[in-house]
Amino acid sequence: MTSQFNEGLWKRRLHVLNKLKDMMLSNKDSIIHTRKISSFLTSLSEYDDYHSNEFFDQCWSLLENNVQNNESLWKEILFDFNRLFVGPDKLQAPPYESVYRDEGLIMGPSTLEVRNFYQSEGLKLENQGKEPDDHIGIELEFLSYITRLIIMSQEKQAEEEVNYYQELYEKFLNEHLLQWGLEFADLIIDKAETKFMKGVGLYLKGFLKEEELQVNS
Amino acid sequence: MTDKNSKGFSKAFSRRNFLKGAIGVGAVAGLSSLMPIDLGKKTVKAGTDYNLGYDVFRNACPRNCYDTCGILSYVKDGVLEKVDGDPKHGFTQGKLCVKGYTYAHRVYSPDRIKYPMIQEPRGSGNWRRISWDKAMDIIAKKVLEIKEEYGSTLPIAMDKYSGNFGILHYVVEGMMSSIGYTTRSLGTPCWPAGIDSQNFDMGAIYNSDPEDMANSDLIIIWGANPAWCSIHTMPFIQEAKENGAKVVVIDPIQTQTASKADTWLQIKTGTDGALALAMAKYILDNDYIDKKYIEENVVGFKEFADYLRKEVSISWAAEKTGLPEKVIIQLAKDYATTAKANIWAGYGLQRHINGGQTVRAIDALGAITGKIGKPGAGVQYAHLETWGFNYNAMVQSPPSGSVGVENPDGSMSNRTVNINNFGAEVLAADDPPIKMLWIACRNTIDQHPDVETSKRAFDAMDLVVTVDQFMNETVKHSDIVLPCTTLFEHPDVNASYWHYWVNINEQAIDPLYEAKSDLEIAMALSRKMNELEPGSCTFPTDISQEEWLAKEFNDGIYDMLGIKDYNELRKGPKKANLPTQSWSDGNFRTPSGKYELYSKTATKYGHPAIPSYKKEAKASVKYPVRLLTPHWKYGLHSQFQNLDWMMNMDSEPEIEIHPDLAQKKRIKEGDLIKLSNELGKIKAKAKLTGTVPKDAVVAYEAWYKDSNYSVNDIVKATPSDMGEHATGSPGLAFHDNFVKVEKV
Ligand code: SF4
Repeated sequence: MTSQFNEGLWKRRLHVLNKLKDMMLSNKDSIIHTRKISSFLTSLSEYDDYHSNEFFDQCWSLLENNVQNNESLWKEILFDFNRLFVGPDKLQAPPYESVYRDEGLIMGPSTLEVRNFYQSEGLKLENQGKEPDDHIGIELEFLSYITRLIIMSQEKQAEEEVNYYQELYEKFLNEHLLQWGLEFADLIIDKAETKFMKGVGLYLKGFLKEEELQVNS
Repeated sequence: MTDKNSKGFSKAFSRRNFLKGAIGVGAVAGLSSLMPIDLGKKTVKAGTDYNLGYDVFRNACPRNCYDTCGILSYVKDGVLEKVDGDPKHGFTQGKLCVKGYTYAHRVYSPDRIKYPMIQEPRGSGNWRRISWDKAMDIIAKKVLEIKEEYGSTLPIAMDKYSGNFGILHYVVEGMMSSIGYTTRSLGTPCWPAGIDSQNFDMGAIYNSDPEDMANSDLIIIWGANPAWCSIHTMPFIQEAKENGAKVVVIDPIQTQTASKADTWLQIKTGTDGALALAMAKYILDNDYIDKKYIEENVVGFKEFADYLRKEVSISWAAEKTGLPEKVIIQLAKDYATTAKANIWAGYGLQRHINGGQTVRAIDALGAITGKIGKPGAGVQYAHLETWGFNYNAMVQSPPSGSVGVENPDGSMSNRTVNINNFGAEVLAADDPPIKMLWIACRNTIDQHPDVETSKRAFDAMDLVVTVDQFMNETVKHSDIVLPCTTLFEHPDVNASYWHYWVNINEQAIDPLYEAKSDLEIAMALSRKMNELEPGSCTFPTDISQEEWLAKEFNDGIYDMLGIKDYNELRKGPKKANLPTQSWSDGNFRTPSGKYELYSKTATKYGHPAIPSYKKEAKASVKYPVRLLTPHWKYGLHSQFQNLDWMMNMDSEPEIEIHPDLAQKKRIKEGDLIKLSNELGKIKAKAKLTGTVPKDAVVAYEAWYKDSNYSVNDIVKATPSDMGEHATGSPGLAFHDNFVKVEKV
C-alpha cells in the first residue's frame, strides 16, 4: 500500500480512525460520552465515504433508525459501553491488546511492544504505567497520528517521510491492531446489548477488514 | 530512509525533531491520550533497555492466612513481572502458596475495578463512571446531610474485616472516627471462641514460635488443615517427622493434612471437647499429671479434677466421639508420656456452639501435663504479640461536639452491631436507624451468613459505598464503588497471627487506573468534607503514605525486632526476639497471674468456671445432614478464586458427599444436587468422596466469579459459645449448620 499515494483514501481513513478512537476513548465523562455517541450516530451516514463492505452495511442498517436525540437511549448505550469496556463488572469485551495475546492479562509483553512503538515516534501515554498502552482507543489514536503525519508530509512533499510513515502505519497495523482487533470487534458484536454498540463493533470490524485487505494487496 | 532496519530510536527522534519544525505541531494537536516525550529529558528508558535488571521490592501477603508470606516483587518498566517468596523470611523461606504465585494475575486482571463508578439504580448493573472528586462530593454531602437530620453520624455504619490485614488498613476505622461517632460491625467471624478460651485460661492468645514444632516428638493437629491453609508450617512438621516424631490429625474430614499424618482420627463433628476431657480423665486416673507444674502455675486443678471424676468417662467419650476406647486411651497415653508433645488447635475446631469449651478442654491437657511453655510442646492457637504498632492511622478523634452513644460516665462512643449477625442488626437498629454503609476489606454480602438478610439490609440504605478490587455480590448491591490498590501499589507493614516475623510492604508499582489505597481515600474524603463544611472531619490530609507508615512504629516494636529504624526492614523481614515457647516464664496474663483452669472471668460471661462439656449440635429430622464449610485451597474467603488461573483449575463449585450418603439419595458423581434449609437453597454438582463423613456434606467457603453461588445463602448466623470477652461478639458456629440434601 506504500506504492502510490492516494490522498483521498488517507483522508477518509483519518476520518474513520478519529471517529472510532473518539468513541472508544469517550469513557471518562458521561456528558462527553453522550455527546460522542450522538456525533458518532449523526456522522455515520458518511460511512460509505470510506469503503463499503458487508460490515459497514450491517452497521448502517442496524443504526439508521437509531439515529435520534434520545436521552434515555444514550444512557442505555453508556451502560452498555461500560459493561463491554469499563466495568466495574467483568469486562465483556476487554479493550486491551495483551488480554488477547498474553495470557489474558493487561500490561503483558505486547503492551510493552506497543509502548516501544509510541516511543519510537517520541510519544508516550499520558498515564503510562497506570493505563495500559494498548487500549484500543490509544492504538487507534496512534494510527490516526501517523495518518495525519502522512497527509502532512505529503502536503510538504516530504516523500521520504511519507514512505516512512506509510510503512510504520502498515507495520503497527500488522503487528498489533490486526492481531487482536477482529476478535475484539466480534466480541463487541456478540456481547453488546444495544444496537448502537453492536453497530460500533460492526463499524470497527468493517474498518479492520478493509485495512487487512489494503495491507495485503 | 525507508529501510526498516535503519529505523533506530535516535533516527526516529531526529526525524521527529525535523517534523516538529515542519509539520509536527499540527499532528500533535490531534492527540488526547498520547503526548510528546519531553526531549529535554532522557526518557527513553522504558522498554528500550529491556535487558536491564529488575527492580526488586519487598512485599507481604496481607491475606487472612496463618503464613503472612514475605514476597519479592520483580518490576521492570514499571510492570510487576513476577512475584516470588522472600528467602530472607525465616518462616516462609522463599516460597509462596499457589494463591500467592497468582498475584500478578490479580494486579493485571482485566476485570479489576478501575474507576470510581456509580450504579443507577442500585442492583441494576447500570454503572457510570464518576471522578474521584464527584464520588467524594456525593459521599461527603450524604454524611453531612445525615448529621444534619439525625444530629449525629451514628446512622453511618462501617463493615470492615480481613480483606487486608496490613496495619495501615486500620485507617478505615480511623476515617470513620474522624467524621464522628458511627456504627461499627464488631467482632470477628471465624476465631473468637478459641480466642476467649485462651484468654480465660492464660490471659491471651499467645502461641509458641511455630518453627518450634520441628523439635516436637508428637504433633497433634486438631481441626486444622495446614496442607492447604498454612503450607509453610508443613516443612517444620516434616522436619519433626524426619526426626522420628509422630503426627496425629483429629478431623471429621480426611483432609490433605490427615492423609499425610501417621494417624488420622475421624471424630464425630463437634465432639472434640469430649475427647479432650476423656484424655484428661485418663491422665488424671493414671497419674500422668505434672504435680509440680500444677502447683506452681495452675489454679482450679481440684475443681477440674472433681469435674472429670464426676462427669467424664472414657466410654462416654467413645460414645460421643465415635472413636474406640482404646484409641482414646492410646492417644492420651502417648500425649502424657511424650515430653515434647505439641497440640495445634485449629480454627475449624471452634466453629461450633461448644467450640470455646472444646478449646478450653484442649488447653487443659497442656496445663495438667505441664507442657505449656516447654520446648516442642504447648497448645498453639494464635498470637498477637508482634502487633504492637501505634495504630496511628486508626486512632482519630471525632470533631469536637460530635454526638455518639452516651456512656454512663457521660463520654461518647460508637455504636456497635454484631459482625456475625450484621444484616439483621443493621435492619433492627433504630434511634437512629442506619442509613449509609461503608464497606472496605470485606465482601459483606457473600461472607456473612444469611445472604438474604444482608441484601435486605443493603436495600434499606440511602447510600452504600464499597471499596474493592473486583466485582462481587457486595459491589453489585452498592451505589458507589471505589477502586482500591493491591498490596503492590501502596506501602504498609504486616505482622502474622502465627509466626514471629514482621515484614515491610513496599510500594512496587504505580496504582493501576484510578485505584487509591484506603489511606488515600480517607485523606480525599477529609479534604472534601472540610471543603464543604470546615471542621467536619479531623483526618489529616497532607501526609505522604510513607510518613503514615513511619508513624506506625515505636520503640517497643523496634526493640522486639532489634532495629532502630523501620527502613531496616527493607533489607529483609525481622523476627521478633520473643522466647521460643510462649508462657515459658510462667507469667500468665490472667487475673491470678496463673493458668486458670478455674476462671472467674468465664463465669462473668455465663460460662462454667472450669472447662466443661457443652452438648454438641445435632441434626434435626427436617434437616438431617450437617453442612461443613471449611477453607478451600485455591481461595481465601472470597479472594483469589475469581482469578483466571484458579478458574482454569476449578471453575465451578462442588459439593462433596460420601458415597454411602449419595447412594441413599440416589446421587451419582456429577449430578446436580440441592442443599436447603430455612434460609434458602444452593445447587452444585456432587463429588463423591470417602474423605468426608457419612452424615455431612462439604461445600468450601470459596466464592465463584460469574455465578450466584454462595454457600452463605444457607449458613445460619448461629453464634458459637464464646468470643464476647475478647472480641466483643461471639464467633460463628459455621460447622453446626444443617441441611436437607436432594438430587435436583
Ligand atoms: S495466602 Fe497465605 S500462604 Fe499464600 S502467599 Fe498469602 S500468606 Fe502465603
